[in-house]
Amino acid sequence: MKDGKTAKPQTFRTKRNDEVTLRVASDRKISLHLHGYDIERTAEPDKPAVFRFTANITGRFSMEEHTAEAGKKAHGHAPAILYLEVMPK
Amino acid sequence: MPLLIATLLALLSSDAHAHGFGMRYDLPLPLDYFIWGGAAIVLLSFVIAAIFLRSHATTGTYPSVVVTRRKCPILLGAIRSFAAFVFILVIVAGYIGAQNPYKNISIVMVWVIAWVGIGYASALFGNVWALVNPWRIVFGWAERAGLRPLDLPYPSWLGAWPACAQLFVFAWLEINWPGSGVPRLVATALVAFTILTWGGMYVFGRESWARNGGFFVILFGLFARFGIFEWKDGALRLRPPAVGLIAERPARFSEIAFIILILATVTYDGFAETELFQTLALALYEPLQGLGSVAVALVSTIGLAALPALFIAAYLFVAALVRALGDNAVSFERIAGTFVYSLIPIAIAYHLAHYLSLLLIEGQNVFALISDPFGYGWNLFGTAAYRADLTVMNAEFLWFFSVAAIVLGHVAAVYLAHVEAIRLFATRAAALRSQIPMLALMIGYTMISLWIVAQPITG
Repeated sequence: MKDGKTAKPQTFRTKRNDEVTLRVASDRKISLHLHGYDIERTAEPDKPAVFRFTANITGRFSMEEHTAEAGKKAHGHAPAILYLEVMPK
Repeated sequence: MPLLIATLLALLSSDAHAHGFGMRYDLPLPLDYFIWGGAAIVLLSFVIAAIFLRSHATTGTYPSVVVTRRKCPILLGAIRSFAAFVFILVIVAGYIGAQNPYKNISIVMVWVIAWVGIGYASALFGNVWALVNPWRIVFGWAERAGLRPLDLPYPSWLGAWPACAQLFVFAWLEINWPGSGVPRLVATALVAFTILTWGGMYVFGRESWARNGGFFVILFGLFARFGIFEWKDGALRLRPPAVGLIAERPARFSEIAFIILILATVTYDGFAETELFQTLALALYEPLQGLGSVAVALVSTIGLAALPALFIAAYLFVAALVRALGDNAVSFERIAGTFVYSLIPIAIAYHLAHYLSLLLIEGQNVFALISDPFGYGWNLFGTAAYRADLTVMNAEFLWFFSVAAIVLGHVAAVYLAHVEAIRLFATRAAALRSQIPMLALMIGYTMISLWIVAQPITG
């Protein structure tokens, strides 16, 4: 990720109940939120954010920057950085 | 330049987020479901046409079974009071409650329980809105307390145009408006709508306004014609689905516009979440860059207006073809006004497919919110800690449900159109011939629905 934006959000596909590790590197400090699984991690320069979990929910989940307005109106939505599709079977 | 595009992309995504709140995690329909669905749609259309080739003429009446003749005033009164209570609660919560859409009962009540939920209930079971319409209920109480409306006759030239305008505004608020997730703003929109509705009821009379100008009444009423229960001739009756849509009288042009607008706005809701739409919108931004964030609103409004315009043009063109292929003895107005009702199952089917996950997942939040409607940290019923279970519905179920709904909606639409054709045209041959363009149109609309469901949700 450069400057908080990717060229075009990629979609990663996995199967239900797989162990998933997502590593997101950034050149600036950014707070990342994976929807659905509701996991938040922070990425910093030289310290990528690591999401590690069991993909027990099927669906298409976006990961977005968690902005400061989240307190006032939940989900100040930023463009999706990536999508994770957890497929059945 | 790339920085500008990136900024616009950010603006587009943040503001064009469908529903303002309430994410759907639906996986795109896989290719094999899409192909089976498409094949079923085309095949069943021909099967229906073949059935009509053989069967007797139909009068448009349908079988129904009486369920009960008794109205229970206590139950009805309780339901009405509860509906009015929820209505007032939603507005109050919007103003005094937490402004986080997940902590305030108003957002999920309005967009999920009411909008999606009543739509579902109407399409499946019949005219539930007539029971729980809070505006009608409260105005009725005011009348019993002595309020005398002016009861001016509703000008017939107005027709369903006020309803069309309201539906367009509602669709814009639901799809394009960033404020749709802000409780205070939603409450204000409800208040504005209340003023309009009660104003209309005061001037024209409660039922006259509801019937002519009440867009929820008309919309849910149309959905309800598909539903299996009806109150008719003093009894609650059970009937086959969709038969209520057989037209008693042809729709006038403003009513045709309203029906097509329903189809177009539910379709647009899904279309706005596709990558194709994002690409088109971005292309439209190029000339509008100077306007900044107004450009977002402008592009989304253009999109929301363009789809109904396209759909109406397509429908009217097809109606002209139907007239030409049937007997030219039947007027264009009558043809256009009769067949439009048979499009409603397609709109219902897409509404059901598109919103099921929202109802079953975001809708669960209402369990927690009834214990803490204002987000103050209360726990009235002990459910405040309840969190939505995302595994309540798995991907295969949703895929199957979506395809089944869309296919069945299409089947109902084609069936209805054939019934109408047989009633309208003098000869069976003319009737069946006339349905070829209508069938093509319906296959077109239905495949658009299916295509959208097969697109990854973007933005």
